[in-house]
Amino acid sequence: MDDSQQISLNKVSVAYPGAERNQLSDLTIKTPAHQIIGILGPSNSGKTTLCRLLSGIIPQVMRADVQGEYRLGTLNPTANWAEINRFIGYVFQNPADQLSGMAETVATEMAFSLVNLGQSASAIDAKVRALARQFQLIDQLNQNPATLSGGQMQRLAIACALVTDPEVLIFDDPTSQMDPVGTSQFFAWLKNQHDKTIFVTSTNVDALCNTVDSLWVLNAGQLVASGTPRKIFNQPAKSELIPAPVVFNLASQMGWALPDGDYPVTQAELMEATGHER
Amino acid sequence: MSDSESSVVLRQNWAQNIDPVTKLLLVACVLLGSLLYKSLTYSLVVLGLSVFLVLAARIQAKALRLIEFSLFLIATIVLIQGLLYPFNRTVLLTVFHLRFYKEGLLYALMLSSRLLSIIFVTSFFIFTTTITENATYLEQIGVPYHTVYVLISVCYILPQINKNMRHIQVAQRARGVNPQSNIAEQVRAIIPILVPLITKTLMQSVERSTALQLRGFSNPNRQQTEKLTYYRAELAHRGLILLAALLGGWKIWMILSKLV
Repeated sequence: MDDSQQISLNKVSVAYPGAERNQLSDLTIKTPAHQIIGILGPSNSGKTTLCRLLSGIIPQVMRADVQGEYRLGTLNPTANWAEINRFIGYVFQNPADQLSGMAETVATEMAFSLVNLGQSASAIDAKVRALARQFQLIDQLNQNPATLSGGQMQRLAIACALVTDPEVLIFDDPTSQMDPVGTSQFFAWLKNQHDKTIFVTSTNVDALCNTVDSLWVLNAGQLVASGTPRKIFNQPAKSELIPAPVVFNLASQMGWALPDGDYPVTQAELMEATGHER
Repeated sequence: MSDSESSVVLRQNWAQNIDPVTKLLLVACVLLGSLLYKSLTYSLVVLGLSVFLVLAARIQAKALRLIEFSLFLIATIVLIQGLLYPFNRTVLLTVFHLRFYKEGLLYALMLSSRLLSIIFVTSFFIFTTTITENATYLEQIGVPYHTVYVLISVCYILPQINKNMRHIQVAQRARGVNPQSNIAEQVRAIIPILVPLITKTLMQSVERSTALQLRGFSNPNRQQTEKLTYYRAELAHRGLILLAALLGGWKIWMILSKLV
């Protein structure tokens, strides 16, 4: 695999102005692009800062001292800033902050990025409808975005990030305000996204393990573990920073190991470990 | 395409088919007339027209809520002018040994009519246009989108501060910190939350600005797809500008004719 298909961070450190310590310290990792990467860690571990760095918000919008080199495949997040929405879709922790505030309806809110790209009205209408159907917002298209529930607003924020069909998607705790059904629908949708590089932070360890290709574990701004969810939770000195998924706890207590001796972390692996077919 | 899927909002009210500049010119004309002409008949005619405008636009409930704030001012005008107007001669009524004069009450009626006319005609602008419509209109007439956003965002900051303040106050009350049972307590409750309130609002603005940039806000290719059309906007502009010129011109003519 050549370098253009790699996500690489080389000794990356980030410090906010006036902060006593680096928010991210010496992050070094090289991993293939076009996969789903989960970012886990306790509060104030640097998850949001990493998302901001990968999206170019740091240092393009937020001032911070950035050391080291980083690249997302062929993409440089800080180049072509005016058209950043064509390449990167970003969903904030608080969906209300992501809305333009200039739109009276959900439809015009969703169309905002496309209008900025100068697309035609018919193309915008088609894309908006397709996404509204996908995220169960079709009945809310003429509704004021401010009147949506927390979960609906979060779905709208996701739809707004996807509307330009970006190569890279960054979700900063995208299901924090969704109900269990909405959360499970979101992760089921996420699992089916191929040919995109996706970063997702979440406190839902079970959903992340079932969805992502690899996990990055952060603590106090440092990358303390990385790899597949199975590898991370099965390593001998496994981190106590994050709770293990329910599947892993159940399997390890019951002694349901996979043929290679690892305990499962996903539902599919659990089926395999217990010898059941799906 | 079913109705539920339609993303086009139809204008149901005739007032929404009048462009924002026409409405603003109407406000300007009423203001100009009120400032230039101190005639009771003129003020009552303008008030009648303003009331008709509000009723025809079916915004009377909202307009009346707006008037609630000016009722104290009107009561003060009636009281002061009725009792103390310098040209008071004819006693009209006596209340608790206070003599109200006809001249002062008529003057108060004229002042109140002017105030109410301005409120009614302003409410016609406020309640029949939306912030988004104004933003789209400004962009359509060639104002750069950055400038439009800065102008319009002022309209968002105040409701945002208000919303944040209510959240903080509800949280305070829930913890029994401040029962806010009277106005003095309500005012006192605002002081300690001022710093967190402003900080929170500023942080929200920074987040929004970041989101807008990520969504291509500054893209030079931006092209507004929605074209707003209004009923005879240009004719209305010309007519109202002419009316303003006539109001001003007639006043100048009256002043000059007195001098000559």
